[in-house]
Amino acid sequence: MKRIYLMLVMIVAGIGFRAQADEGMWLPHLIQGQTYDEMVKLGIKLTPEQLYDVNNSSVKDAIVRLGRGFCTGEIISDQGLMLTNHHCGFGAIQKLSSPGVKNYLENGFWAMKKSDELYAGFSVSFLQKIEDVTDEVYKNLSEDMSYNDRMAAIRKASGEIAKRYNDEEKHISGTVKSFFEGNKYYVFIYLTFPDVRLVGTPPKSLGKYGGETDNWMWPRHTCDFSMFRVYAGKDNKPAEYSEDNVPYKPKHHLPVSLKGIKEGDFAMIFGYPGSTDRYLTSYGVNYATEKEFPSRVKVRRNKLDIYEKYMSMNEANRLMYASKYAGVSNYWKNFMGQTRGLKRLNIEDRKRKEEQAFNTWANASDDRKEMYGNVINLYETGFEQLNNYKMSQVYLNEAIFGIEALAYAYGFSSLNGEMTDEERAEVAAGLAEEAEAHYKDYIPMLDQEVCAAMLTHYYNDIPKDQQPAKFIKLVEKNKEDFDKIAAKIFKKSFLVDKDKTLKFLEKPNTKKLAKDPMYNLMATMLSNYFASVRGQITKANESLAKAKRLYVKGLMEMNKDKAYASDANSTMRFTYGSVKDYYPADAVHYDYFTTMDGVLEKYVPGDDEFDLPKNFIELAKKREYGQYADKDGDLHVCFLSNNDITGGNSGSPVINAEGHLIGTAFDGNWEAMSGDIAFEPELQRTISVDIRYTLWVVDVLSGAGHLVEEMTVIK
Amino acid sequence: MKRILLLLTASFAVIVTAFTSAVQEEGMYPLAQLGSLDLQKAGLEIPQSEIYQPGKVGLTNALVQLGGCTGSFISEEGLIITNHHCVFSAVAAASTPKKNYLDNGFYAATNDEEIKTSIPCRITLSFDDVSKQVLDGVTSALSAEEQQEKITENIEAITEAEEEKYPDLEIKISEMFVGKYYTLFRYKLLDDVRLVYVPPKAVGKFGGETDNWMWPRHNADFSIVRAYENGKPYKPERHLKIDANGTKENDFVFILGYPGRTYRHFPAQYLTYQNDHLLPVISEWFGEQIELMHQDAAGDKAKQLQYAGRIASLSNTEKNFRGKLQGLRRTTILEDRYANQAKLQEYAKANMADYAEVIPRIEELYQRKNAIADDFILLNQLYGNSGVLSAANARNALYNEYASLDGPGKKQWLAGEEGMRTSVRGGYNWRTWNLEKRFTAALIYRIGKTGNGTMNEVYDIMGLENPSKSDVYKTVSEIWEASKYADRDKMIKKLDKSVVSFIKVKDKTQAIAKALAPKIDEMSSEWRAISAELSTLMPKLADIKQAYQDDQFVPDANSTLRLTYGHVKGYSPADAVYNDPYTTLDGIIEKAQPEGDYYMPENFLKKYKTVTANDNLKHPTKDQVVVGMLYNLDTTGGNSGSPILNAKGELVGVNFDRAFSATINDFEWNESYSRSIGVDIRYVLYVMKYINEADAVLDELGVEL
Repeated sequence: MKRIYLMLVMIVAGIGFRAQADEGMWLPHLIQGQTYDEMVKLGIKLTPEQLYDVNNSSVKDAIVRLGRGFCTGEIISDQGLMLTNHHCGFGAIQKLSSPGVKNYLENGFWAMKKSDELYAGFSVSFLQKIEDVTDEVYKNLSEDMSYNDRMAAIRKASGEIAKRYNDEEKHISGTVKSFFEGNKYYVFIYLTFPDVRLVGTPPKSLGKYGGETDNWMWPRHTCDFSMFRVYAGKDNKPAEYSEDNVPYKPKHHLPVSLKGIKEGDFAMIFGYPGSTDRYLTSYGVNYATEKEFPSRVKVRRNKLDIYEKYMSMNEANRLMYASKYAGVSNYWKNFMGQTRGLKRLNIEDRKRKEEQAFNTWANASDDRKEMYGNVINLYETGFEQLNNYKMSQVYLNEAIFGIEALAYAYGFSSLNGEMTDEERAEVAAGLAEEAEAHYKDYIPMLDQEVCAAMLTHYYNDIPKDQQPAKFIKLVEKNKEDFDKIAAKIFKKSFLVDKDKTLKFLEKPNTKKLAKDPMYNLMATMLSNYFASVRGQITKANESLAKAKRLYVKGLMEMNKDKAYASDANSTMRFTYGSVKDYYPADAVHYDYFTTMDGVLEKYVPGDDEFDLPKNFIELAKKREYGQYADKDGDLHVCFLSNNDITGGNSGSPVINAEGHLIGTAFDGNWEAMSGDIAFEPELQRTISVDIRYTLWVVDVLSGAGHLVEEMTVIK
Repeated sequence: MKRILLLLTASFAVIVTAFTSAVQEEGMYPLAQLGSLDLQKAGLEIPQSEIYQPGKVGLTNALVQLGGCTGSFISEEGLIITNHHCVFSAVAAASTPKKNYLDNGFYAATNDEEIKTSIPCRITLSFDDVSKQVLDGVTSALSAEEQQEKITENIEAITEAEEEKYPDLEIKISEMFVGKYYTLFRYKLLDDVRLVYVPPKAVGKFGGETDNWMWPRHNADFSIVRAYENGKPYKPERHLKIDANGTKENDFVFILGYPGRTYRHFPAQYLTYQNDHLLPVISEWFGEQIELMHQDAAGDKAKQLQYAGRIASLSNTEKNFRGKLQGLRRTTILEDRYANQAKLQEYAKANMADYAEVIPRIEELYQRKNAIADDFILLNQLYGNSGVLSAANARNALYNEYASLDGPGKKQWLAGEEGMRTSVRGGYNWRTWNLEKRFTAALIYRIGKTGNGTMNEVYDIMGLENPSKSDVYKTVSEIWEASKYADRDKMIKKLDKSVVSFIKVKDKTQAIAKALAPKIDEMSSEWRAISAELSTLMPKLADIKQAYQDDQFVPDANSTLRLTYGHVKGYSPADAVYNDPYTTLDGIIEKAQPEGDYYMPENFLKKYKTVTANDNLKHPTKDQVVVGMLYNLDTTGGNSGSPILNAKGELVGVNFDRAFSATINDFEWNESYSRSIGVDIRYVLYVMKYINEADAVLDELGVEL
């Protein structure tokens, strides 16, 4: 499932601490010392250089970032074959699909020769190296600087550093990222390949088997993989899409292991985790569980209800909204799980105790008092201020920009009155191109219902003095009848209609645009946010950022012998651990692997989530698993390990002690949903597709055995 | 939970019983067959005769049937232990907002404080085989329906004669196998049962609907009542001793109780009827009904309370049926039974010439039955759920009768007015007007979708062709709004004044009822004829089986006293999942919520977290008090409240539910999925000792903690 791909939300910031044996998303260039010793104890056979080396090929060269980091992929052949999750390829597959024979989502797709492979429309990046630039960034910083000055100085230094590496022609780029809440800075150099093609995908019934019901759940039986191929120019260098491009020859590809997996086996995962908030404070936890998460759940549930209503009407609707539904639903469930986990595990109390310990330490000497004595206070006041305004931002995001037409209207703000006609025509042409994609999957009636519902939530839940006066007036004039308000907007706005929009774009008139009620609503909401909300949030964040930076700095000083891992931030990390079962609840034990029997057990003919293709059932019942069978004779489907992953890690390779691929990570488990804020060693597990199931589907079920031949198979 | 109270499902289901061969731990054995079992070998440590021996006092004398549940005596002063859900309505009836015994629980420290209920309590005294007398004069010279009538007549006559002999006793003849075996039971009736101890709802019903039919389970589903006779505590001939140490995994246990109904040896085609018709049709419709009620009550607290009971009972059945469908899909019960039946047919053809047509005929009859099943089931639902249509239908029938009579006939007919009023009123009502329209439209649409054309004429009348669900609702809504029956008060006033004036009212809904009436008549008589003939074929099918495999036959459950035995055992309900056979207080702490199904008051939660309980109440390996227990015994609805007894015949738990996968136990028992759920005696004692401090009860039980 899409499960653990990266969601772009504004994350509440805060601080806390803790580290456990298997906790930690570690930076690959820092594999050494305590961390590496721990890995050796758990069974790793590879040297740090075999995992990460700038000059020679290493495991890191087989790991790719998808797009800007929405997922991870791994290279599994010397011809650029790339494996990732089905839910990572979902968007691309959906775009390539149309009702009927070419419904690749429903029917699956396999290119039997390279010329059948389909251009996917997203790029992949290879990490070249990581360098520490802390000193360079810190050169112009001091503790007395104002927040804005400090940020500006950091931005300036980061920009200059990145510029040294950027080479658009060669598709090379540098990015400076902050670590340990601003106590460290590293630059990451990437090589980006824009030509990536779809090689194969199982039908949705397999790739998304279990649907929303099983999402975030174990036991799991989802065949969550899809395959792509990275193409390069004839010189093996990145090149824009062209028919003349050839499969990329990677520096390294992961051998795949058919040897199987046992409990306790070493397992490590490389990937691009998006964000975690392990240093979040008790104040932040309180805000998340009491205010933000419940609101997001409520608003998202409402949206899903409306989507469901339309999707149940016909296949066309279902196709149009499948991906959008999954997107909203994924974190709807996640937020519920996080709230449940945080409360159940008493994280708020635990964090509070940690903060108290820190405060005691900080106030024990005069030096420390000067540096850290005010940190916890800073937190408290910062969060108080943030709490007053943050919901406005959350609702702007979830509710107001949850209206598709309104979010779409935002794109039109790039047309402005001061442009020359020529410039404007160019922007309009771009918008017209985007219009095709937008209206292909759009139902105005549905969006109108969403609009009415979202405006209702916003109006009822946000303090009136933070809402635009113009909006309040509109609502009062219509006696709080939001259906009526939405109906009026949709009736008058050209933006909800493809033809009208295209016609507008032929001769874009900014006055007409300004008068459009949808555009107008968007502009009103946004300027209100900029005028009266954002400033307050920024102010709060300024004190919090300082508090956070000092807290983490202090923690590392306080516990000198402890290895700390920086929060995830969409940079390459690795996490190590072992294959492991767990006990999710009183009287219940979950084994570490699932089997084909379980796939068949869950089968419900004709069901939305648990249907299976006929040929699949026939083959499964014959139990012809060939070289993909486990020693026990069954085909193992998914497995668990106690690795520490999060959104963005979707599609990440799970590697054994020898550096061979044993599975593809695709989800975390429900019991540990709070993992982004606190890792729970007893409960937190990564769910992966067993590589043997993947290969059985490729080879036996789909007849694409030639792909397996491309790979380096370890038997 | 009400969980395994007898499920009153399709009232028109054929009542048939059949035989099953005794395989290992499967079987609900009648007392008469206990002699054929070797319980010692299975693990029993007392002589089998101590359980039951004709003419002597045994453990069975401690058993009672309490309403639709089972209970057992646990003190010489008539204390009975049963399930919380078995006394739930009695407690609700005794509660007032000020004395809310449901929420707060109830405890009578002295006899004076006990509260009288209307729960009937029966003790099985003795029984005799009366098959010969019941079947006297039942021959193949009679038609199938006449044979059934004759059996009914005989049963009535024998019962009456026995009642004259024993005026103080209750006499009941139970069909152990249709057309073959009948047993006469003599019961002692105690009609004075009083509440003694009831745990608070949050404890007794913890987990609510969410956990219903589920393991792991954490509710204290037990209550204690006292039986009285002539105003004095009843002194039972035998009461059960309590073993406060409970059991451990793999221990031998057995259950005595009154299981309601199973379908173990119904023909294969009967399972097809369940799998393809009854189960999906009812569970889907109940699911929709629940959804419609939730929608109707959204945001309205009063309505939510008003609907709660109905929704609970619908979802109890819905969940049970869903479990059965899932079970039938995941097991090979259906295929196996067809295969077995094919072997029987081969055997009959080769060896029993007179019986060669029995199985093919059963097949034919079920084909006929299955052809009309969806429509017939849904039509029954339609008339049960649509007040307007019931009224229109009743009016049509009365009108036709009235119109066909001459003057004097009419006058005579009018003498029966009161009865007619009652029958009209019976179906002429609705929960809310909105639901009346919603339910009616939903059912009309569902019947229209069966593809048998039953609704064609109705759709003509409504001016619809191949309508969508919303079309049907729109039209029903219009017709219903315009209907004179919508103003029920006015129409009832008319009815009370004169039936004639009531039936003279004309209404469009009458045309709908009129179009459906002949179809219903036709289906009903077809249904009856099929059922009657099947009743004559069942004993023949049993004869074939007996001749073919010559095993011991255990009749299907029929609410008579049975014994079932097995072991405390965990299981694997799904791929990669293993469930332990014991739950503990940890699970309560994990599940507890400030509201909803897992509501647990703070003060109780604190006790769960802090009380140091005696070691003998704890799990053998985990340092925590045991709450629920799981075992592979063969139980069904009616076994609620049954005592779980250890190898010494001592009480170690109270049975109250089955695991989700065991809902198909009604069709077939299986070691891998058949698991029943009980509240462990250790938790029973813990709750009375620490949650409520019911010392007087503990004293009377003679338990020291």
